[in-house]
Amino acid sequence: MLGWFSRTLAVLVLLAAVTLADEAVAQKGCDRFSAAEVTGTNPPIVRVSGLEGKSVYLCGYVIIHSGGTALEFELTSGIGDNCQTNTTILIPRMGIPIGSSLVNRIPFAYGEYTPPGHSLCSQTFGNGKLNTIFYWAQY
Amino acid sequence: MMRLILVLFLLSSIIPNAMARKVCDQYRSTSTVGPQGPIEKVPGKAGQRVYLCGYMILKGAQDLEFEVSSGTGTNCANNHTILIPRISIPATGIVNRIAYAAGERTEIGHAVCLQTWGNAAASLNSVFYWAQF
Repeated sequence: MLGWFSRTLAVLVLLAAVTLADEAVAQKGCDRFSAAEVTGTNPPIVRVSGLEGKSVYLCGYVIIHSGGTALEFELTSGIGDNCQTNTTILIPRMGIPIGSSLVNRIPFAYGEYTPPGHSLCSQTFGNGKLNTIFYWAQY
Repeated sequence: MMRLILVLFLLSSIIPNAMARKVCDQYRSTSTVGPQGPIEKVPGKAGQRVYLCGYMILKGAQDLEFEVSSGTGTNCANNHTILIPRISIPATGIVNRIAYAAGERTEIGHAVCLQTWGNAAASLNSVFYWAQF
């Protein structure tokens, strides 16, 4: 009787662990977004402000070349003014072809993320114009 | 008794996942010519938000810009809030879509509206996907 009870209890504990792990990893929805228009060359600008003890999980972006010549962008994380300290490149410098769009998006928080407390910054190089939408979670 | 507890436990572990992942089960496609709107694309419902799960927007040969907003009243005229600011549609169009409700959402009870700017002959084909709860 006790053996059967112990085995059942073990199964329940295992199921609980699996369930909680699934909730922790898979259930973080990307509930934040912001849109911005960027023209020409810009130094790193904070797109998502860091929060103490929390990481920024980049869930996706829409980047549309909407005028002028080609424009390149780069995403970094860091602390201090405009990610100037402990700067880490999340998405290296890349160009958006003229007249095209780049969409890379998922509904849940996996993929690129910052260290806890870091902000997310974007930088552009060139003379064109981009319209951007960023999606993220922060926890 | 223990088997009953086990079944209940399994159900309780499945239900929260099902509830948390709100699928995007609504869609609507339209074709327009020339500047439009704002025109209501998703009517608001009392006590519910519209979660914009994505869109496919394609233009014809003429340049066209679009903006997605939310609001109340006729064609979002009141409490107007911009969800996606005015963007020029690239030649390749835009496909931005996810399966579950995350990202842009309206205030409770608000409708979603679309506005376009461009040449009178500019054509637009669009499909919007959303959840509302």
